[in-house]
Amino acid sequence: MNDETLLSVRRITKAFVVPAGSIVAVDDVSFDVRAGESLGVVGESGSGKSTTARIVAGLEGATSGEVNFWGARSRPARSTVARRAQARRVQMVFQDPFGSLDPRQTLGACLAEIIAVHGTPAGQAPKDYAHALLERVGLAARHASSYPRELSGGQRQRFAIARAMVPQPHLLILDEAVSALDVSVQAQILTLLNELREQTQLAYLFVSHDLAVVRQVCDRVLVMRSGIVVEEGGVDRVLDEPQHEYTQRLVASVPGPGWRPPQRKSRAQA
Amino acid sequence: MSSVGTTQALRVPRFGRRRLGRRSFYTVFLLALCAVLLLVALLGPFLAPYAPDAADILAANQGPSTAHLIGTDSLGRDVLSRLLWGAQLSYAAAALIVVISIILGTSIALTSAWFGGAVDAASAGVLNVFIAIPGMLVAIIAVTILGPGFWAPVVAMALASAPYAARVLRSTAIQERHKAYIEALALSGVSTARINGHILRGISPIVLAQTTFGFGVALLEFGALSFVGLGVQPPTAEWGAMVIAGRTEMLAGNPQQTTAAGVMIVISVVAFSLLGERLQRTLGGRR
Amino acid sequence: MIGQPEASSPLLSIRDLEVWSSTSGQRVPVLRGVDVDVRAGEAVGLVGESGSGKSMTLRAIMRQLPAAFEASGSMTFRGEEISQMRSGRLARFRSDELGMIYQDPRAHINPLWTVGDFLTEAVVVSGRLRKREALARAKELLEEVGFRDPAGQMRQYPGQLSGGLLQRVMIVAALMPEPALVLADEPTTALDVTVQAEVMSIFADVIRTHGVGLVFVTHDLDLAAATTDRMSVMYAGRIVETGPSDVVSTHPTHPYTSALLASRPSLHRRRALSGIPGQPASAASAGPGCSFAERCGFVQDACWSHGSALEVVDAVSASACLRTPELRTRLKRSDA
Repeated sequence: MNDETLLSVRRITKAFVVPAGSIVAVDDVSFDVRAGESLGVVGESGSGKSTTARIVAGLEGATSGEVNFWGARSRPARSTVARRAQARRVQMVFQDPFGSLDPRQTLGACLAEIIAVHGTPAGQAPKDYAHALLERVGLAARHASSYPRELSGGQRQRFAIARAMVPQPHLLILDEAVSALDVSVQAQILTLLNELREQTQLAYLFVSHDLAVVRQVCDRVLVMRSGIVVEEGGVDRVLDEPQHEYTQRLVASVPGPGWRPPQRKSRAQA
Repeated sequence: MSSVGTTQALRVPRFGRRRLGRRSFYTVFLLALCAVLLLVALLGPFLAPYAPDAADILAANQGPSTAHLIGTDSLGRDVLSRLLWGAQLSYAAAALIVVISIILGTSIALTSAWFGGAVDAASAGVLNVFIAIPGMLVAIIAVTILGPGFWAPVVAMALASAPYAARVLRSTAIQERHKAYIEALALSGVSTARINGHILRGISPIVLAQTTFGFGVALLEFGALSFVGLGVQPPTAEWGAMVIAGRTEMLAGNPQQTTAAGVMIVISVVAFSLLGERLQRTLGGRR
Repeated sequence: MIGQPEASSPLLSIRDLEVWSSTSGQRVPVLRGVDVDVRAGEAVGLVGESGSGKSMTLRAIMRQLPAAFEASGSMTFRGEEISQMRSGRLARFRSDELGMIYQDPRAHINPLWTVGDFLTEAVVVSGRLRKREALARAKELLEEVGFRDPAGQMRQYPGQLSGGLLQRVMIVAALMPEPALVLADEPTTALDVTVQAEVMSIFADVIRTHGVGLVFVTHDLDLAAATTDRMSVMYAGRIVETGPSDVVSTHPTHPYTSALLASRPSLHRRRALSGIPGQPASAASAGPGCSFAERCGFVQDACWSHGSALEVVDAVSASACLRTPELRTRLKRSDA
């Protein structure tokens, strides 16, 4: 991990206008990610973590604030040219293993379509590059002729990771990427993600509601609640010695060996 | 079901009864019926025993007989032959109307869905205005300006029907455009044209359903235009025109022309409309 | 743990439950020989991943299997065979003696009714309670689950309540008829983790106070260990291990349970996760012999032909693995 700042997010805010007024989903959030670093963003529903991730990816625009890659301002890309350049900076793996793949396309066709845009490293033949990516994520080359519906959820997520790697991005955003998977499969994907990062110096922005998963995969973590970052720091420090009351509550709520639900203090209405 | 999804690979049959659902017999029946109707329209002139304008005054206003299976009209022309010749015209008109309007509608829908925001709001507004104007009225105005016949009414009806198709397709296209796989494609840097190709393939079942359904509607409306005298002119055989032309004969006790043409219109419209509705239900709902 | 089980015959006793689907003419197994006992006041967990059949077991108990699904085997409630219950008796069983809590409360509450109507309707219609008694009981229970203003709550509509609050309402609904048995199908899976912790603590309290028997289905082994007395781990439509919850979660007797525990990341330290190669099997894809054989790290030749019946391992535990006696120490949980 080197010291260059890959991603710099400064004071982003996202407000939605609704009939009743406006909802602030992300409120003045700032953070950095260094090249090769893995930053976790944890929070529950309504925390703004997914919206933050989508703003970084350029899928949505922030109401105010800046997103900078390698010091250069990044805006939501609309045109093909802008999106192509953005694709080489940041890619995303989505939560739903099935919905994030075109059901009518074979895996190979899907990879080929993207390879046609970005080319292959070191002038490899497209097909070889596609097969190499499939194998890198633990699939077989023959899966290139499979359709998404023939694959299990874990296999689809592996493919989603392979697809994200085609343009050789610097940052990979994982938006609850393992939340829809069974525990035994989740562990496979987490191991894969750790290996990939070691091998490629890819940086991660790992959005999750699951603290234990974040511990497994991240170096640093942001804790978000109602659009605000309430705590930030090294993942070991934050999870072992949480400072903020909300983080403490989160940590105390995660079932683990010997865990018991917190004692009811009084008849407090939640 | 637990929110931890099924990780077991699904072995789903590629196509087949599963997609057509439990009422597959009904759908297959409709498909067959529509296919037969289309075939008849295609081959009509070859199947007809007489020419459509072969008049035989002496045989005027006869009921069904061995020489004329459905009977004759007031000019002694064989009703069956005129039906078969008319089928070609009616179906051709309906097909043109529906193809043009679907192409227009789909283009509007995709553009709206892709750009969203102001573009979408504007197009939705414009569509609503056009939908408020009855299609028949547009057609009548166009025909009054351009003259009756075949092409003016066809183009007029196509333009008038496009907003209806566009409205349905727009909402489907917007849904598709926001799906995760389209977002992933956008992130991958793939060209806008290719992404819209994906969206188009995604909405193609609805497009197909709308086309089929729209065919029935177009058939009826073109017939209606001829019925009021603004479409095809006599002596050309066309179902709507035949319905109106046989009006007086019907009152005189010779209903064969009006009835036969009317029945054919009803069967065609119902068959295609039901098929379109079936397709929409099975292909559109199960995604 | 929660309940104080009475030392008497089981409230619910399931033996050799098999469920299969016969859609498209083929017989596809879903559950293969499940045995479960629940005593009055006891909380039993059913833990498993996708395809394990845990939810299907609950549906079988309620006799609410999907269309074209059939079941065989014995399920007795207080000695009475559930599968033999006629429609009137079955309806009373479901409304008066059984409480059900589902994963998604919004799918099981009529959004057009007030909470009060929802809670009182079923018991009044079935004749279990009179309207006035029902209202009083609803208020009592709402207070027990933490609502400070039960009367006000009863006037609200489901749409005005968050997921966590709605699930508490569902708990009340399940307890309204004073059932002997409550079935809970992943009741907190759809909730945020802090909300889950709150709801679970209320749930535990309330179950203990009312002395009902509980079957708690979840994919989270630690959550089950925290809230049940005994638990059964399910895989591919079978039970692979049964025992006291704290024992199963720290000293599992089946390689699957052990591997599952080893797959779960720890909140307290980073460690090498193994995962289990492949994906969870369903009953349909499992062959003869042990259904876990193809993914098991301890597999031997005998495993492929050995039937997977549960064998008693000691006074409190049973395991379907034929190698349990020799593997026991190696299966111990490493991060406990």
